[in-house]
Amino acid sequence: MDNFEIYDNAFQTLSLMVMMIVSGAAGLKYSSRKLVVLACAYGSIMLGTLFYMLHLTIIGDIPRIFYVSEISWMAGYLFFLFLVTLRHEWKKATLQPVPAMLALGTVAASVHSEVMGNSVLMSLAFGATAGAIVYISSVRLRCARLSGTPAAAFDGMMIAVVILQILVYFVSEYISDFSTFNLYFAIDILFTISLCSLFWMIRREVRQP
Amino acid sequence: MTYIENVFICISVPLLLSLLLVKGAQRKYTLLLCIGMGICMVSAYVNSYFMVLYQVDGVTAAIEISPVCEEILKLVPLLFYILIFEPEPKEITPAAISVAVGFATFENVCYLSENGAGNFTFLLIRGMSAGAIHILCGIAVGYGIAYVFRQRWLAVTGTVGILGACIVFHAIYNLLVTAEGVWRTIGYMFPSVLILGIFGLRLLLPKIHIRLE
Repeated sequence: MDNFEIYDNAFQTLSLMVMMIVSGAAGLKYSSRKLVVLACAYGSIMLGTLFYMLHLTIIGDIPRIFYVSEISWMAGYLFFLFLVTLRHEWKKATLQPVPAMLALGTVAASVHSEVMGNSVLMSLAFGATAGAIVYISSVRLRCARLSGTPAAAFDGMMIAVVILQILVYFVSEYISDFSTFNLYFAIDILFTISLCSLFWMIRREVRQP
Repeated sequence: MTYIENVFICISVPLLLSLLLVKGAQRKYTLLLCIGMGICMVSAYVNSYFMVLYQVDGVTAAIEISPVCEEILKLVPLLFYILIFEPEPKEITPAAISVAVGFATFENVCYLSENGAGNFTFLLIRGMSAGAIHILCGIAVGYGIAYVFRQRWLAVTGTVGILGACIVFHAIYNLLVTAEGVWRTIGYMFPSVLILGIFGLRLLLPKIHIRLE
Protein backbone atom coordinates (compact mmCIF):
# COMPACT_ATOMS: atom_id res chain seq x y z
CA MET A 1 0.00 0.00 0.00
CA ASP A 2 3.09 2.31 -0.03
CA ASN A 3 2.01 3.75 -3.34
CA PHE A 4 1.35 7.49 -3.54
CA GLU A 5 -1.03 6.91 -6.46
CA ILE A 6 -3.49 5.22 -4.09
CA TYR A 7 -3.32 8.14 -1.61
CA ASP A 8 -3.79 10.61 -4.46
CA ASN A 9 -6.78 8.67 -5.81
CA ALA A 10 -8.23 8.33 -2.30
CA PHE A 11 -7.94 12.11 -1.86
CA GLN A 12 -9.68 12.70 -5.20
CA THR A 13 -12.41 10.16 -4.45
CA LEU A 14 -13.16 11.55 -0.98
CA SER A 15 -13.08 15.19 -2.11
CA LEU A 16 -15.39 14.56 -5.05
CA MET A 17 -17.73 12.36 -2.99
CA VAL A 18 -18.14 15.20 -0.48
CA MET A 19 -18.67 17.71 -3.32
CA MET A 20 -21.19 15.38 -5.00
CA ILE A 21 -23.26 15.16 -1.78
CA VAL A 22 -22.97 18.90 -1.08
CA SER A 23 -23.81 19.81 -4.69
CA GLY A 24 -26.73 17.37 -4.85
CA ALA A 25 -28.14 18.64 -1.55
CA ALA A 26 -27.75 22.27 -2.68
CA GLY A 27 -29.38 21.36 -6.01
CA LEU A 28 -32.43 20.02 -4.19
CA LYS A 29 -32.44 22.96 -1.75
CA TYR A 30 -32.35 25.61 -4.48
CA SER A 31 -34.30 23.42 -6.99
CA SER A 32 -31.39 24.00 -9.38
CA ARG A 33 -30.82 21.75 -12.39
CA LYS A 34 -27.29 23.20 -12.74
CA LEU A 35 -26.26 22.02 -9.27
CA VAL A 36 -27.83 18.58 -9.83
CA VAL A 37 -25.89 18.21 -13.12
CA LEU A 38 -22.71 19.35 -11.33
CA ALA A 39 -23.37 16.64 -8.71
CA CYS A 40 -23.68 14.10 -11.55
CA ALA A 41 -20.33 15.29 -12.96
CA TYR A 42 -18.66 14.99 -9.54
CA GLY A 43 -20.26 11.55 -9.08
CA SER A 44 -19.04 10.26 -12.44
CA ILE A 45 -15.45 11.40 -11.98
CA MET A 46 -15.49 10.12 -8.39
CA LEU A 47 -16.80 6.67 -9.46
CA GLY A 48 -14.17 6.42 -12.22
CA THR A 49 -11.38 7.19 -9.77
CA LEU A 50 -12.90 4.86 -7.15
CA PHE A 51 -13.00 1.98 -9.68
CA TYR A 52 -9.41 2.69 -10.72
CA MET A 53 -8.25 2.80 -7.09
CA LEU A 54 -10.17 -0.37 -6.11
CA HIS A 55 -8.83 -2.21 -9.17
CA LEU A 56 -5.31 -1.16 -8.23
CA THR A 57 -5.85 -2.23 -4.60
CA ILE A 58 -7.76 -5.50 -5.13
CA ILE A 59 -6.37 -6.82 -8.43
CA GLY A 60 -2.97 -5.10 -8.11
CA ASP A 61 -3.02 -3.74 -11.66
CA ILE A 62 -4.84 -1.15 -13.76
CA PRO A 63 -7.86 -2.18 -15.96
CA ARG A 64 -6.56 -3.21 -19.38
CA ILE A 65 -9.44 -4.60 -21.48
CA PHE A 66 -12.27 -2.06 -21.52
CA TYR A 67 -11.64 1.51 -20.42
CA VAL A 68 -14.20 1.45 -17.59
CA SER A 69 -12.70 4.31 -15.55
CA GLU A 70 -12.18 6.35 -18.70
CA ILE A 71 -15.85 5.84 -19.66
CA SER A 72 -16.83 7.30 -16.30
CA TRP A 73 -14.41 10.25 -16.54
CA MET A 74 -15.73 10.84 -20.04
CA ALA A 75 -19.28 10.82 -18.59
CA GLY A 76 -18.14 13.49 -16.11
CA TYR A 77 -17.05 15.74 -18.98
CA LEU A 78 -20.34 15.10 -20.80
CA PHE A 79 -22.11 16.40 -17.70
CA PHE A 80 -19.79 19.44 -17.72
CA LEU A 81 -20.66 19.98 -21.39
CA PHE A 82 -24.34 19.74 -20.47
CA LEU A 83 -23.75 22.28 -17.70
CA VAL A 84 -21.91 24.85 -19.84
CA THR A 85 -24.53 24.46 -22.60
CA LEU A 86 -27.29 24.92 -20.03
CA ARG A 87 -25.70 28.19 -18.85
CA HIS A 88 -25.05 29.54 -22.36
CA GLU A 89 -27.64 31.71 -24.05
CA TRP A 90 -27.71 30.60 -27.68
CA LYS A 91 -28.28 33.60 -29.95
CA LYS A 92 -26.87 33.54 -33.47
CA ALA A 93 -25.00 30.43 -34.62
CA THR A 94 -21.77 32.06 -35.83
CA LEU A 95 -18.41 30.37 -35.50
CA GLN A 96 -15.98 32.53 -33.55
CA PRO A 97 -12.41 31.97 -34.81
CA VAL A 98 -10.36 32.41 -31.61
CA PRO A 99 -12.51 30.08 -29.44
CA ALA A 100 -12.67 27.63 -32.38
CA MET A 101 -8.86 27.56 -32.57
CA LEU A 102 -8.67 26.98 -28.82
CA ALA A 103 -11.17 24.12 -29.17
CA LEU A 104 -9.19 22.57 -32.04
CA GLY A 105 -6.02 22.89 -29.95
CA THR A 106 -7.79 21.04 -27.12
CA VAL A 107 -8.78 18.21 -29.48
CA ALA A 108 -5.23 17.96 -30.86
CA ALA A 109 -3.66 18.01 -27.38
CA SER A 110 -6.12 15.35 -26.15
CA VAL A 111 -5.33 12.98 -29.01
CA HIS A 112 -1.58 13.65 -28.79
CA SER A 113 -1.50 13.00 -25.02
CA GLU A 114 -3.74 9.92 -25.40
CA VAL A 115 -5.96 11.37 -22.68
CA MET A 116 -8.27 8.36 -22.45
CA GLY A 117 -5.70 5.60 -22.82
CA ASN A 118 -4.35 4.00 -25.98
CA SER A 119 -7.72 4.06 -27.75
CA VAL A 120 -7.73 6.85 -30.35
CA LEU A 121 -11.55 6.71 -30.42
CA MET A 122 -11.81 7.44 -26.68
CA SER A 123 -9.20 10.22 -26.91
CA LEU A 124 -11.07 11.73 -29.87
CA ALA A 125 -14.40 11.51 -28.00
CA PHE A 126 -12.82 13.22 -24.99
CA GLY A 127 -11.15 15.79 -27.26
CA ALA A 128 -14.47 16.63 -28.93
CA THR A 129 -16.26 16.98 -25.57
CA ALA A 130 -13.46 19.00 -23.97
CA GLY A 131 -13.11 21.09 -27.14
CA ALA A 132 -16.83 21.93 -27.04
CA ILE A 133 -16.52 22.93 -23.35
CA VAL A 134 -13.50 25.15 -24.12
CA TYR A 135 -15.29 26.68 -27.13
CA ILE A 136 -18.48 27.61 -25.25
CA SER A 137 -16.57 28.84 -22.18
CA SER A 138 -14.23 31.02 -24.25
CA VAL A 139 -17.14 32.41 -26.29
CA ARG A 140 -18.79 33.42 -23.01
CA LEU A 141 -15.54 34.99 -21.73
CA ARG A 142 -15.12 36.93 -25.00
CA CYS A 143 -18.73 38.09 -24.97
CA ALA A 144 -18.31 39.30 -21.37
CA ARG A 145 -15.15 41.23 -22.34
CA LEU A 146 -16.74 42.81 -25.43
CA SER A 147 -19.90 43.84 -23.61
CA GLY A 148 -17.98 45.12 -20.58
CA THR A 149 -19.85 42.86 -18.16
CA PRO A 150 -17.91 40.93 -15.49
CA ALA A 151 -16.80 37.52 -16.77
CA ALA A 152 -18.15 34.47 -14.99
CA ALA A 153 -15.42 32.80 -12.93
CA PHE A 154 -16.96 29.43 -13.77
CA ASP A 155 -16.09 29.76 -17.48
CA GLY A 156 -12.45 30.50 -16.74
CA MET A 157 -12.24 27.69 -14.21
CA MET A 158 -13.86 25.24 -16.63
CA ILE A 159 -11.13 25.97 -19.20
CA ALA A 160 -8.52 25.54 -16.44
CA VAL A 161 -10.03 22.16 -15.49
CA VAL A 162 -9.79 20.91 -19.09
CA ILE A 163 -6.18 22.14 -19.41
CA LEU A 164 -5.20 20.51 -16.11
CA GLN A 165 -6.86 17.23 -17.15
CA ILE A 166 -4.83 17.14 -20.38
CA LEU A 167 -1.71 18.20 -18.48
CA VAL A 168 -2.15 15.29 -16.05
CA TYR A 169 -2.00 12.83 -18.95
CA PHE A 170 0.77 14.76 -20.72
CA VAL A 171 3.00 14.70 -17.63
CA SER A 172 2.18 11.04 -16.91
CA GLU A 173 3.91 10.09 -20.19
CA TYR A 174 7.23 11.34 -18.79
CA ILE A 175 6.94 9.80 -15.33
CA SER A 176 7.52 6.13 -14.63
CA ASP A 177 7.65 6.05 -10.82
CA PHE A 178 4.22 6.64 -9.26
CA SER A 179 5.18 5.45 -5.77
CA THR A 180 6.42 8.84 -4.50
CA PHE A 181 5.15 12.42 -4.74
CA ASN A 182 6.13 14.14 -7.99
CA LEU A 183 4.94 16.75 -10.53
CA TYR A 184 2.17 14.42 -11.77
CA PHE A 185 0.55 14.27 -8.33
CA ALA A 186 0.99 18.05 -7.82
CA ILE A 187 -1.00 18.67 -11.03
CA ASP A 188 -3.56 15.99 -10.15
CA ILE A 189 -4.17 17.52 -6.69
CA LEU A 190 -4.48 20.99 -8.28
CA PHE A 191 -6.96 19.46 -10.78
CA THR A 192 -9.05 18.01 -7.91
CA ILE A 193 -9.09 21.36 -6.09
CA SER A 194 -10.12 23.14 -9.32
CA LEU A 195 -12.96 20.66 -9.79
CA CYS A 196 -14.16 21.23 -6.23
CA SER A 197 -14.08 25.03 -6.67
CA LEU A 198 -16.66 24.79 -9.49
CA PHE A 199 -19.37 24.18 -6.88
CA TRP A 200 -18.95 27.56 -5.18
CA MET A 201 -18.96 29.34 -8.55
CA ILE A 202 -22.19 27.68 -9.67
CA ARG A 203 -23.81 28.16 -6.26
CA ARG A 204 -23.02 31.88 -6.39
CA GLU A 205 -24.74 32.05 -9.81
CA VAL A 206 -27.74 30.08 -8.56
CA ARG A 207 -28.16 32.27 -5.46
CA GLN A 208 -28.03 35.49 -7.49
CA PRO A 209 -31.55 36.70 -8.38
CA MET B 1 -24.55 -27.85 -20.40
CA THR B 2 -27.22 -25.32 -19.42
CA TYR B 3 -29.92 -24.64 -21.99
CA ILE B 4 -30.57 -21.10 -20.80
CA GLU B 5 -32.74 -20.28 -23.83
CA ASN B 6 -35.15 -23.01 -22.74
CA VAL B 7 -35.24 -21.58 -19.21
CA PHE B 8 -35.95 -18.15 -20.70
CA ILE B 9 -38.86 -19.55 -22.73
CA CYS B 10 -40.29 -21.35 -19.65
CA ILE B 11 -40.26 -18.13 -17.61
CA SER B 12 -41.33 -15.67 -20.28
CA VAL B 13 -44.16 -17.67 -21.96
CA PRO B 14 -46.61 -17.38 -19.01
CA LEU B 15 -45.82 -13.68 -18.74
CA LEU B 16 -46.29 -13.18 -22.47
CA LEU B 17 -49.58 -15.12 -22.37
CA SER B 18 -50.79 -12.84 -19.60
CA LEU B 19 -50.42 -9.90 -22.04
CA LEU B 20 -53.53 -11.20 -23.85
CA LEU B 21 -55.63 -10.73 -20.73
CA VAL B 22 -54.28 -7.62 -19.02
CA LYS B 23 -54.42 -4.04 -20.27
CA GLY B 24 -52.86 -0.63 -19.74
CA ALA B 25 -49.87 -0.12 -17.47
CA GLN B 26 -49.81 -3.77 -16.30
CA ARG B 27 -49.41 -4.97 -19.90
CA LYS B 28 -46.65 -2.42 -20.58
CA TYR B 29 -44.62 -3.26 -17.48
CA THR B 30 -45.02 -7.04 -17.95
CA LEU B 31 -43.74 -6.70 -21.52
CA LEU B 32 -40.81 -4.55 -20.36
CA LEU B 33 -40.02 -7.18 -17.71
CA CYS B 34 -39.86 -9.88 -20.42
CA ILE B 35 -37.73 -7.60 -22.59
CA GLY B 36 -35.37 -7.10 -19.64
CA MET B 37 -35.02 -10.89 -19.29
CA GLY B 38 -34.39 -11.22 -23.03
CA ILE B 39 -31.75 -8.49 -22.87
CA CYS B 40 -30.02 -10.41 -20.08
CA MET B 41 -29.77 -13.47 -22.33
CA VAL B 42 -28.51 -11.40 -25.27
CA SER B 43 -25.90 -9.71 -23.07
CA ALA B 44 -24.61 -13.16 -22.01
CA TYR B 45 -23.89 -13.87 -25.69
CA VAL B 46 -22.27 -10.47 -26.22
CA ASN B 47 -20.12 -10.91 -23.09
CA SER B 48 -19.01 -14.34 -24.29
CA TYR B 49 -18.09 -12.87 -27.69
CA PHE B 50 -15.84 -10.23 -26.10
CA MET B 51 -14.37 -12.80 -23.69
CA VAL B 52 -13.25 -14.90 -26.64
CA LEU B 53 -12.15 -11.84 -28.64
CA TYR B 54 -9.90 -10.48 -25.86
CA GLN B 55 -8.95 -13.94 -24.49
CA VAL B 56 -9.77 -13.05 -20.87
CA ASP B 57 -10.91 -15.09 -17.88
CA GLY B 58 -14.32 -14.90 -16.17
CA VAL B 59 -13.21 -12.49 -13.43
CA THR B 60 -11.75 -9.93 -15.86
CA ALA B 61 -14.85 -10.26 -18.04
CA ALA B 62 -17.14 -9.70 -15.02
CA ILE B 63 -15.18 -6.59 -13.98
CA GLU B 64 -14.41 -4.92 -17.29
CA ILE B 65 -16.62 -6.36 -20.05
CA SER B 66 -20.01 -7.29 -18.52
CA PRO B 67 -20.86 -3.86 -17.01
CA VAL B 68 -20.24 -2.12 -20.34
CA CYS B 69 -22.25 -4.61 -22.43
CA GLU B 70 -25.09 -5.01 -19.91
CA GLU B 71 -25.70 -1.32 -19.28
CA ILE B 72 -25.58 -0.43 -22.99
CA LEU B 73 -27.98 -3.27 -23.89
CA LYS B 74 -30.36 -2.37 -21.05
CA LEU B 75 -30.58 1.17 -22.37
CA VAL B 76 -31.57 0.07 -25.90
CA PRO B 77 -35.20 -1.00 -25.17
CA LEU B 78 -35.69 2.01 -22.92
CA LEU B 79 -34.50 4.40 -25.63
CA PHE B 80 -36.77 2.65 -28.13
CA TYR B 81 -39.72 3.08 -25.76
CA ILE B 82 -38.91 6.76 -25.16
CA LEU B 83 -38.25 7.67 -28.79
CA ILE B 84 -41.15 5.74 -30.36
CA PHE B 85 -43.92 5.99 -27.75
CA GLU B 86 -42.90 9.39 -26.28
CA PRO B 87 -44.18 8.62 -22.76
CA GLU B 88 -44.78 11.18 -20.00
CA PRO B 89 -41.72 11.79 -17.78
CA LYS B 90 -43.43 10.05 -14.83
CA GLU B 91 -43.75 6.85 -16.94
CA ILE B 92 -40.04 6.64 -17.85
CA THR B 93 -38.58 5.72 -14.45
CA PRO B 94 -41.01 2.77 -13.84
CA ALA B 95 -40.25 1.54 -17.39
CA ALA B 96 -36.49 1.68 -16.71
CA ILE B 97 -37.01 -0.14 -13.41
CA SER B 98 -39.12 -2.84 -15.14
CA VAL B 99 -36.36 -3.56 -17.67
CA ALA B 100 -33.81 -3.62 -14.83
CA VAL B 101 -35.96 -5.98 -12.71
CA GLY B 102 -36.42 -8.35 -15.65
CA PHE B 103 -32.69 -8.29 -16.25
CA ALA B 104 -31.84 -8.92 -12.58
CA THR B 105 -34.42 -11.74 -12.32
CA PHE B 106 -33.03 -13.61 -15.29
CA GLU B 107 -29.45 -12.99 -14.11
CA ASN B 108 -30.38 -14.70 -10.84
CA VAL B 109 -31.95 -17.59 -12.80
CA CYS B 110 -28.68 -17.97 -14.75
CA TYR B 111 -26.75 -17.95 -11.47
CA LEU B 112 -29.03 -20.65 -10.00
CA SER B 113 -28.69 -22.79 -13.14
CA GLU B 114 -24.90 -22.65 -12.90
CA ASN B 115 -24.36 -22.88 -9.13
CA GLY B 116 -27.42 -24.62 -7.74
CA ALA B 117 -29.89 -23.45 -5.10
CA GLY B 118 -28.48 -25.14 -1.99
CA ASN B 119 -27.24 -22.15 0.03
CA PHE B 120 -30.33 -20.12 0.96
CA THR B 121 -28.56 -17.36 2.94
CA PHE B 122 -26.01 -16.68 0.22
CA LEU B 123 -28.66 -16.72 -2.51
CA LEU B 124 -30.79 -14.27 -0.51
CA ILE B 125 -27.86 -11.87 -0.09
CA ARG B 126 -26.79 -12.28 -3.71
CA GLY B 127 -30.32 -11.91 -5.02
CA MET B 128 -30.88 -8.74 -3.02
CA SER B 129 -27.58 -7.10 -3.97
CA ALA B 130 -27.72 -8.05 -7.70
CA GLY B 131 -31.34 -6.94 -7.86
CA ALA B 132 -30.54 -3.71 -6.05
CA ILE B 133 -27.62 -2.81 -8.34
CA HIS B 134 -29.72 -3.21 -11.50
CA ILE B 135 -32.64 -1.31 -9.98
CA LEU B 136 -30.29 1.49 -8.88
CA CYS B 137 -28.94 1.78 -12.42
CA GLY B 138 -32.53 1.70 -13.75
CA ILE B 139 -33.55 4.49 -11.36
CA ALA B 140 -30.51 6.60 -12.33
CA VAL B 141 -31.14 6.20 -16.07
CA GLY B 142 -34.92 6.63 -15.81
CA TYR B 143 -34.84 9.61 -13.47
CA GLY B 144 -31.97 11.22 -15.38
CA ILE B 145 -33.69 10.97 -18.77
CA ALA B 146 -37.13 11.90 -17.42
CA TYR B 147 -36.37 14.87 -15.20
CA VAL B 148 -32.77 16.14 -15.40
CA PHE B 149 -31.69 15.81 -19.05
CA ARG B 150 -34.91 16.33 -20.95
CA GLN B 151 -33.95 19.35 -23.03
CA ARG B 152 -34.01 18.54 -26.74
CA TRP B 153 -30.59 17.55 -28.16
CA LEU B 154 -28.97 18.18 -24.79
CA ALA B 155 -30.68 14.98 -23.67
CA VAL B 156 -28.15 12.99 -25.75
CA THR B 157 -25.23 14.36 -23.72
CA GLY B 158 -27.00 13.68 -20.43
CA THR B 159 -28.13 10.18 -21.43
CA VAL B 160 -24.64 9.11 -22.54
CA GLY B 161 -23.25 10.65 -19.36
CA ILE B 162 -25.65 8.78 -17.11
CA LEU B 163 -24.90 5.56 -19.03
CA GLY B 164 -21.18 6.02 -18.37
CA ALA B 165 -21.82 6.60 -14.67
CA CYS B 166 -24.00 3.46 -14.48
CA ILE B 167 -21.34 1.36 -16.25
CA VAL B 168 -18.66 2.22 -13.70
CA PHE B 169 -21.12 1.90 -10.78
CA HIS B 170 -21.98 -1.62 -11.97
CA ALA B 171 -18.27 -2.37 -12.54
CA ILE B 172 -17.43 -1.34 -8.96
CA TYR B 173 -20.10 -3.77 -7.67
CA ASN B 174 -18.76 -6.61 -9.85
CA LEU B 175 -15.18 -5.83 -8.78
CA LEU B 176 -16.12 -5.92 -5.09
CA VAL B 177 -18.16 -9.14 -5.22
CA THR B 178 -15.45 -10.99 -7.16
CA ALA B 179 -12.90 -10.04 -4.47
CA GLU B 180 -12.48 -11.84 -1.15
CA GLY B 181 -13.15 -10.94 2.49
CA VAL B 182 -14.29 -7.48 3.54
CA TRP B 183 -14.43 -6.19 -0.07
CA ARG B 184 -17.04 -8.81 -0.96
CA THR B 185 -19.10 -7.96 2.14
CA ILE B 186 -19.03 -4.27 1.18
CA GLY B 187 -19.99 -5.24 -2.37
CA TYR B 188 -23.03 -7.18 -1.21
CA MET B 189 -24.07 -4.51 1.29
CA PHE B 190 -23.76 -1.18 -0.52
CA PRO B 191 -26.47 -1.60 -3.21
CA SER B 192 -29.08 -2.50 -0.58
CA VAL B 193 -27.99 0.41 1.63
CA LEU B 194 -28.29 2.79 -1.34
CA ILE B 195 -31.75 1.42 -2.24
CA LEU B 196 -32.86 2.10 1.34
CA GLY B 197 -31.37 5.60 1.08
CA ILE B 198 -33.30 6.29 -2.14
CA PHE B 199 -36.48 4.92 -0.56
CA GLY B 200 -35.95 7.31 2.37
CA LEU B 201 -35.37 10.24 -0.02
CA ARG B 202 -38.50 9.31 -1.96
CA LEU B 203 -40.54 9.49 1.23
CA LEU B 204 -38.91 12.78 2.19
CA LEU B 205 -38.84 14.65 -1.15
CA PRO B 206 -42.60 15.12 -1.72
CA LYS B 207 -42.78 16.73 1.72
CA ILE B 208 -40.23 19.40 0.81
CA HIS B 209 -41.72 19.94 -2.69
CA ILE B 210 -38.66 19.62 -4.91
CA ARG B 211 -39.08 20.99 -8.45
CA LEU B 212 -36.06 21.55 -10.67
CA GLU B 213 -35.95 24.96 -12.35
